[in-house]
Amino acid sequence: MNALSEEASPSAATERWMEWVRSRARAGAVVSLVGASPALAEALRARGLSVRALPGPEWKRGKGPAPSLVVLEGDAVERVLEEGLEALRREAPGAELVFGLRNAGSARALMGALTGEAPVRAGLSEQRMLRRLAEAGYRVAHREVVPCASGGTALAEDTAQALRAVLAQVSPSTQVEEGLYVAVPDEPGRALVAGLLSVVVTVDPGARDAALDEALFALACQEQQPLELLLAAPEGVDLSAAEAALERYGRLGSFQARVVRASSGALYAEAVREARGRYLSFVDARCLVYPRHYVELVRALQTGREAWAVARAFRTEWASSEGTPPYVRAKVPFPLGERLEVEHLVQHPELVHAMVIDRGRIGPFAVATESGLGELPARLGALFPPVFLGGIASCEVRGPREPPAAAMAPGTWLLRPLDAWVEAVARIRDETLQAREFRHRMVDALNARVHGIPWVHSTLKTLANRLKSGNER
Amino acid sequence: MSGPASANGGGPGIWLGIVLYRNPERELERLWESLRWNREVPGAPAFRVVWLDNSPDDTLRARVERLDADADYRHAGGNLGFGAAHNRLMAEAFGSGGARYYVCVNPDGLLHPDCVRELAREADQRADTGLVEARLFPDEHPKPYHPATGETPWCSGCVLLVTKRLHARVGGFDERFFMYCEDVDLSWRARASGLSIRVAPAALVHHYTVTREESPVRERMVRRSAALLGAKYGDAAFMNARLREYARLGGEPFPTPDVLKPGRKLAGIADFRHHLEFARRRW
Repeated sequence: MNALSEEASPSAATERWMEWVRSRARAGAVVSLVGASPALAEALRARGLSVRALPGPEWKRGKGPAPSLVVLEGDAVERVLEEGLEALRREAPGAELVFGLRNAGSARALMGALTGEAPVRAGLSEQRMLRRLAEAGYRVAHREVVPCASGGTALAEDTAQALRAVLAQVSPSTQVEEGLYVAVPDEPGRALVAGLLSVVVTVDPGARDAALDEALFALACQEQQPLELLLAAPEGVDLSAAEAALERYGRLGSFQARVVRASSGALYAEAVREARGRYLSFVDARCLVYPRHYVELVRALQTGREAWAVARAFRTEWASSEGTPPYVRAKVPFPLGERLEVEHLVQHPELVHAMVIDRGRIGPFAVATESGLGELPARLGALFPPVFLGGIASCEVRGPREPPAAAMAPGTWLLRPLDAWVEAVARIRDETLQAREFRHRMVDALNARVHGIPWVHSTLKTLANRLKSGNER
Repeated sequence: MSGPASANGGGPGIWLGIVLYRNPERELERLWESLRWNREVPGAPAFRVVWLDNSPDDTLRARVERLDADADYRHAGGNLGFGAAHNRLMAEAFGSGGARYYVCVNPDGLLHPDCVRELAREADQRADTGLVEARLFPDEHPKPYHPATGETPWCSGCVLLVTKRLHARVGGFDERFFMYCEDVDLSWRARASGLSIRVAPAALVHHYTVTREESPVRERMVRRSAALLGAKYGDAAFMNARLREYARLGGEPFPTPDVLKPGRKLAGIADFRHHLEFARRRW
């Protein structure tokens, strides 16, 4: 294995690999080397470790104690990851895996194959590797990667950049050229449960207990079945009141509930990992769902082909209050109009709380990122046109005022057929013309009404001319 | 049970009256579960639950008794209508029952665990309390209420606390309203008699009707009751407009109600400027 070989000199890459393995081989470790170089075996033995070297590419349990560390090199990486992981997990249940991988699914490799400038890269993609690990009950605990270099294709630079950006949006792992990995045993990944909706209820440290209780009460009373609620909170946030409420509302028999704990940065990812439903939604203490909100969203996905569905919502404006439930001053529906425009996804980041994702239709798209969920509607919408329910708002996001638009990462690209753009531009042009015509009709009507009152008419006309000339200046 | 008892022999000071009409089993199960929550929360007042069934027969008796073997279930013998059925229970509650408060509970609602406690707490705030309504949830009713005092132009009958004082002063619902608008009428009469009617914002009832399947029968009933309300409070234009809608919806003809002249106080309270909302909307 020569991980990092294209970025570093061969000797440096080999040295880094040896160092990577040594860092995982703690005192007393029983190491199983599969297809590894004799030099690595020698180096580990020199540190007093028990080393069993196998020629590979298969891993075999052999006699003696089960290994605590399995190191894969060369052909063994693909063979074991593709075909031997389950046996390894069964026969050496506590063993960590260490390996390097040249990513067959890197943007560079894919585009090289696309343009014919390079042969299809053999081996596993990082995405495939991650999937196989999850299936067999492992997760990547550490990785060190070399990012994919840009350029190097016969495509015009802008086009190459756009293609690469789109690949990154679909799967961040396309931006990895190669890497070194440590995989540790974990719960086996579960297949998504068809028909099940998982609603992640995130609890911020500042969430009001009463607001959270209302959000849970509304969830307990909604009609979508089956339903799983995941109460997700950073470590240290007191969930006792929410757990008691869930236990009480759970007696309605309308949902099953679980608690997810993780650090703030990893919370959404962990919640998504633990969610079992094919359908996924995110709410927090500010959200209220009406009884048929999820029924309609899930039905739209089941009867259509889209990857996600979004409903109209109310922004419920709370007046601040001390010691009393917040007074609702106004409810404003958003987004307005019968069509969901791309700009709505950026203007209204709260749409993240009005949507359901069909996880069976988004491939390796990363739902949760460290930056939170604010960009999710726009990130999703860039790749997957949603189905918009329109009609009456079916949920609420409550708060003191409208949040700012989502700050989209620069370089985000939008996948849409050309005719969708042509149609959108034509529609906007029509609406502009109609608005102008309406304005003219209004002015004419007003003019006709005040015409009989000479003084008012002449004053208004003078004012209108003054305004007009002011606008023209 | 815990909480304040009545002055009359230690029975619960609060009665919850549930008027039934051919309700689905699941609806009753959910309601009953929510009543159990209301008994469990800290500081929960004691309350008694009485079921009065307006259905043609007493099939629901078995359903109710499955939920509560000791249920106080009565069959009305026919469909008395919403107001008349509650009046019957209210009269008993405030008479021989010795209750302080009677709470009308719609069977298709689901009471938040704090609902009964918060209704009672709000009613206890003032001696002149006439009515206290639970806040409709999750889609709050857009009619206004005072953010600090809870005072509101009228109270919804979905989950509505009625005080003994109100019953003594103005009686119960006007039984000429078979269903709908009787709560608006009671609210206006309560206000005219000097009683306070309020929303208890922390008392929630889950009751969502916006996406309820359209029912011509219900729409006709609403128009007929609204026309009666218009007649009772002297607004002939409002009455006639509702009667026209009623006819357009295919309603059976009925004698046009006499347009009465309410007293000055009632006339000043009645609000027909906002169609069937009977108050300006907040949104």
